[in-house]
Amino acid sequence: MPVHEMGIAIEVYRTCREAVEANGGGRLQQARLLVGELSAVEPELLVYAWEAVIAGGPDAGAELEVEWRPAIQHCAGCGEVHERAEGSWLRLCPDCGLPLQVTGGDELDVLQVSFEADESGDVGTPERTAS
Amino acid sequence: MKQVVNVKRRALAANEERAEALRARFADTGTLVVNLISSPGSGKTTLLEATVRALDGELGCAVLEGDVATERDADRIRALGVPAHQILTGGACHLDARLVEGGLEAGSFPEVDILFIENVGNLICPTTYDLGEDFKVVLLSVAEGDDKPVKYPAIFARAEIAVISKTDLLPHVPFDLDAVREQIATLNPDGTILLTSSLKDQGIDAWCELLRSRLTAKRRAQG
Repeated sequence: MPVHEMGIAIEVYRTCREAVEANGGGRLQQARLLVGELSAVEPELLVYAWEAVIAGGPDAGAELEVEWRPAIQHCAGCGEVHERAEGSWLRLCPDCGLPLQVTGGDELDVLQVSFEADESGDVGTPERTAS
Repeated sequence: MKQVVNVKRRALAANEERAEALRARFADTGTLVVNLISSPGSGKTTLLEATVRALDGELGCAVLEGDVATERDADRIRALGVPAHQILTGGACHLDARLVEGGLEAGSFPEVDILFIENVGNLICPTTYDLGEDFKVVLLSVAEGDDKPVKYPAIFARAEIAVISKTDLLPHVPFDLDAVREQIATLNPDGTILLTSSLKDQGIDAWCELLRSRLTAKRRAQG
């Protein structure tokens, strides 16, 4: 499945596993991910890809919770514009029609992992690699 | 026992760290690195053929070619006497820093002035992955239509240079050049727009001049 979100999901999973391993190891239960609106990632597709990535592995069933972060829109004439203007990268100020300067919103950050600590410490490292 | 750990790490941090290591390596050798991105068939390889011909005897070039399958692009570059290595992604839609590392190792190029990385033909996925390049170049051929910058805004916002290619076809296709210029300028006010026809050898001088000045600037900045 060579979709864009697949590669991202593999990286997200790898980052999560590293965090779990760094904290003693265990079975991943939930990951919280911050996704900016300009990160070129569709949350629904990402969750779908995530499920495919973890299926059949030691962390099968772990939940991916996506937190959505809008970009900041700034108008040279009106200042910061809080109302969501139409479009993604190319937006026009809803008040004066000038092109908005759009910043931030490119986040793709693993915020938090929840896991069931493995008492024996016998949990494998991630075996999947990006293709 | 359930544990909750705050991570706050970019999911692509591993790629970004590798890309920074590559960037440091290219800084050491004073190599300018250009990441070419476009949809399939916009003329990336043909532009590279015209470029290495134009720079022949003046600047040393090497090319990493990214494709899903076949050695065709690398063969075309090698036919011109320029070292090239084909990275086959086997289905993946973009190159990442790890693939570039591997490609450099497998290609074992001599030290060159300019390394071109031709990404897999795709306007979406390659945008997200840093390859350690100095800048990204996006190509848009006039046959693709004049609405592409606003339809695929991320790459046009992030590429420092936009090359409008196959301009020899302008009389034959509906393509509003001014509208495209305006879209690109809005998405990337500091970007540069170049017009080329690789087959007719138009605009190649300006493109090569830009490469020369970027290479000089990079080497001057590093003393």
